Amino acid sequence: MHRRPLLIAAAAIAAASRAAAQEAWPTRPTTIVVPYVPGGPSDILARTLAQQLQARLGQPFVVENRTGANGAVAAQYVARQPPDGATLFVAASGILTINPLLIQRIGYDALRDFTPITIAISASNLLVVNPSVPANTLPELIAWLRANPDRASYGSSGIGSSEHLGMELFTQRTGTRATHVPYQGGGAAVTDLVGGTLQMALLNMATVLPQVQAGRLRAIAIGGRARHPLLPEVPTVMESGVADFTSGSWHSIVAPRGMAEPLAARIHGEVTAALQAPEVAQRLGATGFAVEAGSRAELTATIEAETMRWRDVVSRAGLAAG
Amino acid sequence: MTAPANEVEVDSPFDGEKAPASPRADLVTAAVLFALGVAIIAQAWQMPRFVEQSGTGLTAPGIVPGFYGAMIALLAGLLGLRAVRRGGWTVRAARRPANGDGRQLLTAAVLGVVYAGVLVGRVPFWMASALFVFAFTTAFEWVQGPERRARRIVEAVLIGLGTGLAVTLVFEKLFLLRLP
Amino acid sequence: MTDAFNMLLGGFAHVLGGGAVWHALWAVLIGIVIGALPGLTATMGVALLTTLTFGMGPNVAMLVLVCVYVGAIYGGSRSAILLNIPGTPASAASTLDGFPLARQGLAGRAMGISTSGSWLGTLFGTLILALFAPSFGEFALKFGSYEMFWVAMFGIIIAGSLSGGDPLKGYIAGFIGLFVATIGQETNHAYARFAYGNGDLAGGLGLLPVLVGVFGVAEVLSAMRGPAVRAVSSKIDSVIPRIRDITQYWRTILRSGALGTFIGAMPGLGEDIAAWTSYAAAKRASAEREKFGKGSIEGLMAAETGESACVPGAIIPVLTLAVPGSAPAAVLMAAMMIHGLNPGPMLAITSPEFIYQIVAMLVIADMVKLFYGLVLVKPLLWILLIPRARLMPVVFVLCTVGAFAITSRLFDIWVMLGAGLVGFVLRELRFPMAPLVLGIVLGDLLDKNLLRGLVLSGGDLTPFFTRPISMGLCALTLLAAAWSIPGVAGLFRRRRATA
Repeated sequence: MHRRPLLIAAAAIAAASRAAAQEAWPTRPTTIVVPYVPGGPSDILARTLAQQLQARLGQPFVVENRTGANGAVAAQYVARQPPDGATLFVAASGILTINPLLIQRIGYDALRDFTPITIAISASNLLVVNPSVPANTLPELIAWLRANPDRASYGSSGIGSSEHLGMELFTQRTGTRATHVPYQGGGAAVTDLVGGTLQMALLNMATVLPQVQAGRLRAIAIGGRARHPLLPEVPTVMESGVADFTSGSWHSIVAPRGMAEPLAARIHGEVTAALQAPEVAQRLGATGFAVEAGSRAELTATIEAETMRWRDVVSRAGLAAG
Repeated sequence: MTAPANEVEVDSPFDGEKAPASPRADLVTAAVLFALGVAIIAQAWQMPRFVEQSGTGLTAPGIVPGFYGAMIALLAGLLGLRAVRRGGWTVRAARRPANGDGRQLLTAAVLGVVYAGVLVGRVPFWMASALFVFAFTTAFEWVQGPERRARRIVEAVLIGLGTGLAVTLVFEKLFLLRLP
Repeated sequence: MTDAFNMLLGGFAHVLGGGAVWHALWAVLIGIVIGALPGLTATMGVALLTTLTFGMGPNVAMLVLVCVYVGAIYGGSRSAILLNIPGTPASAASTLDGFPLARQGLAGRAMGISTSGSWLGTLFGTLILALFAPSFGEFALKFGSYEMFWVAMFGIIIAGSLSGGDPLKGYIAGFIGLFVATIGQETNHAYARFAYGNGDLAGGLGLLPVLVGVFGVAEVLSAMRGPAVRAVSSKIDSVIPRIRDITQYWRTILRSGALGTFIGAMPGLGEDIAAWTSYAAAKRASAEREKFGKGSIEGLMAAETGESACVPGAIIPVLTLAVPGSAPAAVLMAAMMIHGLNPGPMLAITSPEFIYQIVAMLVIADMVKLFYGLVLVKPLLWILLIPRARLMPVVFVLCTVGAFAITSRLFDIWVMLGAGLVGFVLRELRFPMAPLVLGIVLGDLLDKNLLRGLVLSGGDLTPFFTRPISMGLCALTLLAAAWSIPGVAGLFRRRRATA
């Protein structure tokens, strides 16, 4: 327990014990660009990965928070960097799939400007209602929404969040109506949700789980493909009868475009290996995310499929703004 | 003919700095702020109202800033009236900063703008900071006369380099932040 | 009661040990340094340290983070008092009386007041946390969008009393601040107000770069403007906090402690609002109101007690509801989750002892803070002896780093520079900066909650007046407004008579 908390980056130590790299990883420090402020899931992912990769590769990894314009500032920056492995980007699902649909002249192209590495972590959104809503199951909720077409409001962590578009998709699929109330982050919506000003929301599971466990909110269904181990009794939305519906968010690792295939493969190998370290699963699991670490093709396919799905939802909801 | 210093200063050795602005200065300020307020109202009026999406006009983005603009214009009007009553039309600006004051202020402002607005982001941060600190210190210590000037310049160089390097080390290595 | 006491003892026993004192010592110091550097905030300090605590046990990690949080909020006032530049947004209110005290040669005494106020504030908040955490948290949940609108409104009305000598200019500065807060995307339609297609402006002007500008840059400029020799009186006054300062203002301390803790417990309100509110309330209640803004011990004490009581306050809803009470508390909560401590309503059932461990950590952090408060005064006073031609450029460099650090955007440096130049001119024209900064803080709160409330109600204004807490807050706001009108009128009359 007498670990001396040296604040000097482990970089120095790591640099000293530098091991010989096989596939030429650039010798200058690798920067992992995070599009949001420190403390959130992207940042935790980046810093956990940096720690793991540094230990694996014996060379310094630096985390850089470049925030602004919902991640567009960071994305534009990464798109301009050389694809030499010295720059990696923690790209959230919204940055690669939703934002380009909502914002004109966003300044980057999700598929063209980046070399996909892997989806790193993902989390499902949980559909919850205030206990005053007389519905315990999804069909009951849909029936209640149909009977009370203008009464329901739902919260989200912001316009164009996976939580907002997930709910749009839900109302479109079920032919129901509800008013969207955007908040600055899902946590802020919880107060109004528990207080009963909002009737329902499809929020990141980690945000609402404590309230569900305490009985202040009622879980109706989960937006994942399968049930969640922490809430085994809560069915998925699809199980409850809404076809082809998933809602959640993920964070991927991408590199600047045009990266040579061997280097991309090397990075993919190292990153996925780092993600599979038990501490990574534990640390990110606590924030409600599960480690994915899939193939590079899967990431591309996911970006394409989700972009297509959200394009449809956005145009039907008339959301495409300036 | 300046407005009387009607704030009772408690033990402050800097009464001069708390002297109220002259009515003339207030009048000019009021005019500028009034224009700002009107410009805000005009801009707010032109914002989209999102009536169909929200079903109510009350959530139009322009309402809140428009109200602030109106209040700024209104209060600026009051300030202008007060300044006129205190003789803003007739009294010449009485409190002119001494020339030395103006020059010092200009030096500090120009150095600051050149450093933060131009150098930072183009030149490595430690170098930009070292140059800035050196230039600033030397410029302001120049007037102290020629004796020991060389020594002061050497000290300024050292302080500049020390600042640049210390800031870079502390922020990049200790706090793991990126510098421009 | 004995049960709770045993749990508290257990908490201390659990936390102390394993080098806890050593960890607390370095963590509080890091916190003070981060807080004192303009631009680096408590939020950032806790976030940065979170990654560094990954490898530690949950117990030590939490202790370190709590210490950084407590230290940073306290540290921010060092630069506020000595240089008139708040190190964190929370300490902006401390510049109002702290800096005038320092200029009167009482910097040591001012820091003593700050230390005792801050120490008692955190202690008071921790006591509330230990005794009433569940009911406090419960009450905080009743504050939804409608209520928050009134909280912001109330803040704006009482902010009028912060304007110092000239209320009219105070209100103008306040409205300019409120206007600045509306720049960027609004909450409902993501429409970018006053952005003109500029992506950086669409994101809004950050509070931090503006704060660093109007206080830091403007202060550097005004410091350089005056005659060359203007060494601040450097006689080392008393560095030990005076007991009399505490006993004389015990009412202010209790009021500020309660306000600070309460505001901390409200999600969305943080240390900055706690400090402003405590300051404004102290000014209203004070018998020596005219001293405020010119070096009032009571004012400094109120601001310091309020902001420091806010820290345990903000941790209350984290523990009881898993809803953070302030921005640094949000990061602290994320860190708790990373370390497998699941805060929230279930905590009282699954591990009630954890609440008492946090209490123990807060008390330890507070004691270490007191220790540094006593030890660091003399070294800090040396800052005042450095010639301004050498000190100010270094301060300017630190301001630049601070404005840049959080978002890594050059845009924020330009905002700092612009805000600094405009702020300097406004200061020269005798516009107070406090209402301007408060306007930015409250404007954001007001605008978002008003627009959100209107969407929630479908354009209906009645919930703003009919919900029980809303109604109470509305009445309070109207009362405060009515209270201030004759005062303003009176000041007007007096001014004209003397003119």
